[in-house]
Amino acid sequence: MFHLMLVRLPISILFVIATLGLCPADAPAAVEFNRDIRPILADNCFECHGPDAGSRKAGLRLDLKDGLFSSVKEGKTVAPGRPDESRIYQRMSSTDADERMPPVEAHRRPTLAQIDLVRQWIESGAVYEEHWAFTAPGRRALPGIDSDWVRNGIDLHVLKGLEGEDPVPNGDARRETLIRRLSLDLRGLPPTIEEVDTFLADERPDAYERIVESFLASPRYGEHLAWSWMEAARFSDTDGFQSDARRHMWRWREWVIEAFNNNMPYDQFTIEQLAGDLLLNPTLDQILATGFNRNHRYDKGSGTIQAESVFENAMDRLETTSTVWLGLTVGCARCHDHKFDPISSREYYEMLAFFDKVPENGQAILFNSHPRMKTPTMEQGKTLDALEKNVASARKALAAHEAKIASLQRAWEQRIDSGWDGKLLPDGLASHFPLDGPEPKGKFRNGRVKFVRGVKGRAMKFDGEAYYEFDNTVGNLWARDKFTVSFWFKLADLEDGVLLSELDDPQDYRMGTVIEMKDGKLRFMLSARWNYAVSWFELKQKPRPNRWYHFAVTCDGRVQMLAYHVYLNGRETPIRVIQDSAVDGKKIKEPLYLGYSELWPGFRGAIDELRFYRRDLSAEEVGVLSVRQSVPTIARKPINKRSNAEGDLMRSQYLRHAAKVDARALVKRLRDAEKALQNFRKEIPTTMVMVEDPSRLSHMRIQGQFDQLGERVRASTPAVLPAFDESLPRNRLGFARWLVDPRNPLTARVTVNRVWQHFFGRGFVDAPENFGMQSARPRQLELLNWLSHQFVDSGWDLKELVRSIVTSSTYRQDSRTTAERWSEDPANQLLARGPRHRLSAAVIRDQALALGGLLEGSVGGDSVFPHQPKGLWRLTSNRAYQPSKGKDLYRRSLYTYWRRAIAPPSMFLFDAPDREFCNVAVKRTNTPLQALAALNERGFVEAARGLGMRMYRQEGFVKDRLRFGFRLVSARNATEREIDLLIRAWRSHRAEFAADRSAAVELANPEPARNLNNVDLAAYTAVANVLLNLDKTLTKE
Amino acid sequence: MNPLAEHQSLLSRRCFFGRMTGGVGAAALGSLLGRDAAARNSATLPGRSGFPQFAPKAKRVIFLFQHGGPSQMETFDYKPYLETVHGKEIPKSVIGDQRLTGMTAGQVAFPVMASPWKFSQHGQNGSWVSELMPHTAGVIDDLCVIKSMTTPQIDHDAAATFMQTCMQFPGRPSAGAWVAYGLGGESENLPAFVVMVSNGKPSSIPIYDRMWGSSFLPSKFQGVRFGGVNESVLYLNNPKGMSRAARKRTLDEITKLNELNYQEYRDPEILTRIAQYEMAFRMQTSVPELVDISKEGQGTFDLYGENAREPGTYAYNCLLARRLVERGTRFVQLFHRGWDAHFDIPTDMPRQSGQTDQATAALISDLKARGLLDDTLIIWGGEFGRSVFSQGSNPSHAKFGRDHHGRCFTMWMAGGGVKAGSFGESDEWSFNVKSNPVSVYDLYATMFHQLGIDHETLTHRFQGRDYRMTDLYGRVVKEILA
Repeated sequence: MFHLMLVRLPISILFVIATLGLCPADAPAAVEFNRDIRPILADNCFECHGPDAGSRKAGLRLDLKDGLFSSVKEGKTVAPGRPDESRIYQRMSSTDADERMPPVEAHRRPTLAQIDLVRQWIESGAVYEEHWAFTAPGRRALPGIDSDWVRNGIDLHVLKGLEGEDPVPNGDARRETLIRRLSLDLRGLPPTIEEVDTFLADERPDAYERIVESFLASPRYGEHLAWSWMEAARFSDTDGFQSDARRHMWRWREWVIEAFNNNMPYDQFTIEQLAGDLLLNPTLDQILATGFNRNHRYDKGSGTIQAESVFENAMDRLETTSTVWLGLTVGCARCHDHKFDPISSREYYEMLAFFDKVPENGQAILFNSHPRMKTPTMEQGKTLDALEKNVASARKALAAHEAKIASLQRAWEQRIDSGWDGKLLPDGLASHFPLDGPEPKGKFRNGRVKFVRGVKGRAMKFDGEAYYEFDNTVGNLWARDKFTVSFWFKLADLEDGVLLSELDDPQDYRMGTVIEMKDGKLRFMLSARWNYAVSWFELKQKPRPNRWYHFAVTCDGRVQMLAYHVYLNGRETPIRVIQDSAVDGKKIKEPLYLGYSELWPGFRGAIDELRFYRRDLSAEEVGVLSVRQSVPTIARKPINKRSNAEGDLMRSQYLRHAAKVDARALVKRLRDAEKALQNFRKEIPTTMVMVEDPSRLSHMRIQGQFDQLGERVRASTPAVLPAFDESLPRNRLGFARWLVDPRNPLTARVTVNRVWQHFFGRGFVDAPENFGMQSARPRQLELLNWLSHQFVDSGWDLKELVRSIVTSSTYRQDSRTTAERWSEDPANQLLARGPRHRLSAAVIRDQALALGGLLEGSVGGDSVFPHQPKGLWRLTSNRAYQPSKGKDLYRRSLYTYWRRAIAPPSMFLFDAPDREFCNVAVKRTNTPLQALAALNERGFVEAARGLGMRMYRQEGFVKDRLRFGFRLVSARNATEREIDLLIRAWRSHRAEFAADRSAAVELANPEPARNLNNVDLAAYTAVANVLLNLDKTLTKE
Repeated sequence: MNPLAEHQSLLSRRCFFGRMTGGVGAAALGSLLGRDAAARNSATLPGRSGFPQFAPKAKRVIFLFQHGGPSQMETFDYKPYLETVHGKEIPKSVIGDQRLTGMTAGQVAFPVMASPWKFSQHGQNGSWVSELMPHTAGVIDDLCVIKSMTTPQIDHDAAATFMQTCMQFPGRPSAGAWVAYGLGGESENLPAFVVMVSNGKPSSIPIYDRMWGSSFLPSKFQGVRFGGVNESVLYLNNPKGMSRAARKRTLDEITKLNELNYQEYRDPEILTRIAQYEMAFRMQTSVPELVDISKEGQGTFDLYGENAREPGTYAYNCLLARRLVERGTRFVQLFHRGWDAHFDIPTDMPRQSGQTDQATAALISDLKARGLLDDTLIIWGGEFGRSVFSQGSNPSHAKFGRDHHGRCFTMWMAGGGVKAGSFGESDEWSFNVKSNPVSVYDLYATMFHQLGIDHETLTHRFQGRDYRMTDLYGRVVKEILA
């Protein structure tokens, strides 16, 4: 019964064939509840008679069997066999406006045909079915059909579906068409001429299957599948709100490409992306995978309410996850019970409880918000290892001499007297104010500050009124510089007050530095421009009054929060980031005040030993600064009584002032190795990842308002779907495992549906994001079910699923058909012809680059900036677009920098979604702006030049060269008619360029000093422009 | 329309193109003004069948969006009481529970600032208008000033997205996209929904594609932005060295080859593509013709101002708006950036009004003179207004700023069947709405009504839900209709 050419028959198919006949397929009823009736009820009735208890009228519920067959006071809602006694039919068909349902104000009206369907359904016995998508797909035998056309189970279903229909399926498409279709579908790129030739010449029966295998093994496969995953995952290079700041998630994109290329089983693919961090001893890659649910937009604005933003992030994660895996749009249930699907508001929040446990603060920060982690590439990992080894060996070398150095140091310590005054960390010191008395660059303001006993000598004491002013050469902190600020402070009380400020025009701009006590915590702000703090944070630890604390902050000159380290009493201390932005402002030179700022209250307490450095001190160095006791005092302490910082202090003093050169060299080697490691670590990209904080509680929110807390809820899954197994952990990991449990009726079918959409342009279910009550039973449900079983049984083997689709006769069909067929079945629901539809935005561009010989082929890496029209960003934002240089201009579109506020224009014109939210649907419009882009956009024009050059360089006559060009874009040979048209085209262009040679040079834009015939070249370029704009080029046929 | 019928109607339109394809560009050489009957019945962007649902008062809309939030107290909302409380702290009872932005939330004092500009009465109805808007004052009898606009949003991004889409978060179609979706276009040579941006000052607050996006509506309804640096429409210009004649030839060649392909595949999409390439070619003529203002008389520039000669200015965009609606564009949206005046109302306001006042008024009188004002609805306003109190604690009339303020602000409408006069009142502080609040939903319910659309019924099914412009809200403000 199978076609002889079939060589790869999956074992699972054989299994099903073996069971054939055990469970004969039911004959379809004339009217089916799921296919015909439920969508009518869902559209017209559920709004008031559906799952939403809040809006339910007359207590009548039509989405459940009990409600549908209930008795009402006028009789039965549905009386099987008796439409005229069924209230539902009576009211739908009533001519009395008051009686008729739905009521006028609902603005809904079933068509007469739909009402008649309801009548027929009742008349034929009103057989009820649960919603098809919520019921586990039954295992049915393959249809028993004997036909040479059939290659695998897909074809059997398609043929079965065509029974009683007019069309018969098409035969295989031409080989040229087929290889191009397959290449575009599996690699997102056209086949090369060599590949076409090899395929055409390959007479082995499995020639096609061999091509399939080679394309599946290409790294292009993973890239190509990653594109729609980026759209589903709302991947972007920016945050998406007011400043639309940059972020770095490209390492996650690399993870996706690799996962597809390595054919990671889809259940694992699911679990790692949703909950890799919760696996036992997760690898770096498994945590990296969780970047999936950090790709959402993240707010950052002056009016951002952090609690609201945290809530929005969690909802986005839930709604994305639900759309991608369950094909359910649960968003409606955030405010009220779902109107159409059996998902209550409570269930929404129970599901949300899986996604709202991320320890985040609700305000995005530049270059990745917390939680995030360093995610070195493979190469970087190697370098990192080497640098770490260097540190270890330097440390070892030092340790080998430690006993000797220590004894020499000890001897030196015994020699120093109580008056020892070795300079403390003088390298890079910009200024040091002991604050023992009036300072050279300072003056008293608003009275006199007092001097009291301090940490070292005396300290400056403030009463909230008097303050101290330094001239404008002190401080001058700027986000682009390296710096360290260090001082001691003692609070008189916990009132708000400013310890230090240096501000430019404080009334308006607040640009500059402020260190203040606010709400009982110490805050630091370095503001670059009004309202844009580069770094603004508070220390989580609350200081107590009447106690000395050492504070230090270091900055390595990167304009982002990552550049800052904050220390309290010599130890790095946790902070809460309030704001962080990319704006670096300018360096200011203003007076620096201690104990005062123009805007906020003065300080009450004492400050001592103020230091500014022009470099970022290391943690050890800050530790040294935080030592209270003097060098001679510590020198008298036994070694084992010294703190680490005291030990570091003594060692640093010894090395600087007394040590021999070899000891210094050993220490220097270690410091250099550490510095090299530290500097390299800064280059390692971070990725935002998921982290679970189970202490975060989950509540319902009344009417979906973030601040209207309702009852507390426990994480759970909706009742309409299989129960959440109690053996699963009640967290994201449990949720992910629940999703890929074979009993879940949705996950496999939703996935198969999307994969089918990839090849056929549309899925079995038209709206891939909605398998809910409103989605009618798909025409090819049996095929969808069968493929889903195959998929799960194969161990969620995505390549096997793809293989079974592309090797089917169904996929291999010719897409040519008659005008009548196109009008009868425009969407190809019957699958009686091959797929034919316009290519996606990314493939259109990538194909042009490939045909023009421009495509840069490396896999992975950070995003790049291809050319775009000048001024596009400037007109609507304040940033200029900087195109990449060299090869980066021609990378695959997958790597194009995606800015949410201003999407790459040619992508946008060809219907690419804007990446604001999860998108799994395909939009495919046909507009004049697309024509203009493909004709005139710089990249397409460069591709035409490249293609023109390829034709020009081809051996042979003009005709041969044009044939070659046509073959490149379509994979097939041009017909005589076509070649005739192309030759005439080439001649007429050539004639014009011969008359206007400067135009020829402009269009062909050849590299100078090459001996080229510009007139010919320009004519080929013009023809290439035509070829790249043909419908057949822009379309997968 | 059911999908099959919709498809068939599409088909018949495509067949029309199929017959037209004999000579590419033939149509382009015909009438460039797209409003002739033939054009209306052919290549124009179709709307939803059944729309408009009733006789429209307005056939098109020009939305003069003043981005950044112009101050109502400096323009149309005359508040003499503020003179008496100038410099005094605004009572807590007036502020109530209003959320403040991070820019003023930390302020220690909130001193009230009266407007430094004089107001006087204008027109037959004696409306008070500030001296910053002398030209608009001259057409005040054509305006319906709504002084009781209100929005819950206080950040630019959220508020402007809300003003364009009735939702503060991205993900909904813009008003222009909805209108194009419902009513289609009237020109076969120009898009139904056009957007133009001008900048009042460098470093204004950014705006986003989504503010004219189509979101879940088909992308053909999204706004087409006119006014790039080198070309009026993205990719309109042929590459260097490709003459107009050569371009015409390439399009002929593309069409012929596509026709051969159609013979083979019979996919109606091929015919659509042929038609779209023709439209692209026509746009290469119609757009330059549209933006070629050299034939405008001196009178035009006397009216709009001399800077209307300069592409990229607000005045130029106003002039183009008139030329676009003359040619059948359904929805024209201007964005003028730079109204965000946090620090320096005394400098910012005269600059912004100086850039916009004359051209705004000119557009109204020009449309009126051409008989187009009656069926063109003009809307003027920003995403919110500004605070009556000063930003910064020690303001002076020489230098003070105002923060964002959404709770009460002013917009106006003109033409399109709207009754001149004023509607709604703010309290004496211009902080809260005193009477007849108008929400953003109400604004659009009213706009749709004037276009012959019941705003509750123009819906689009997405993710299983029927979405509409006005979400679940909106009331037609009948009181302002003529």
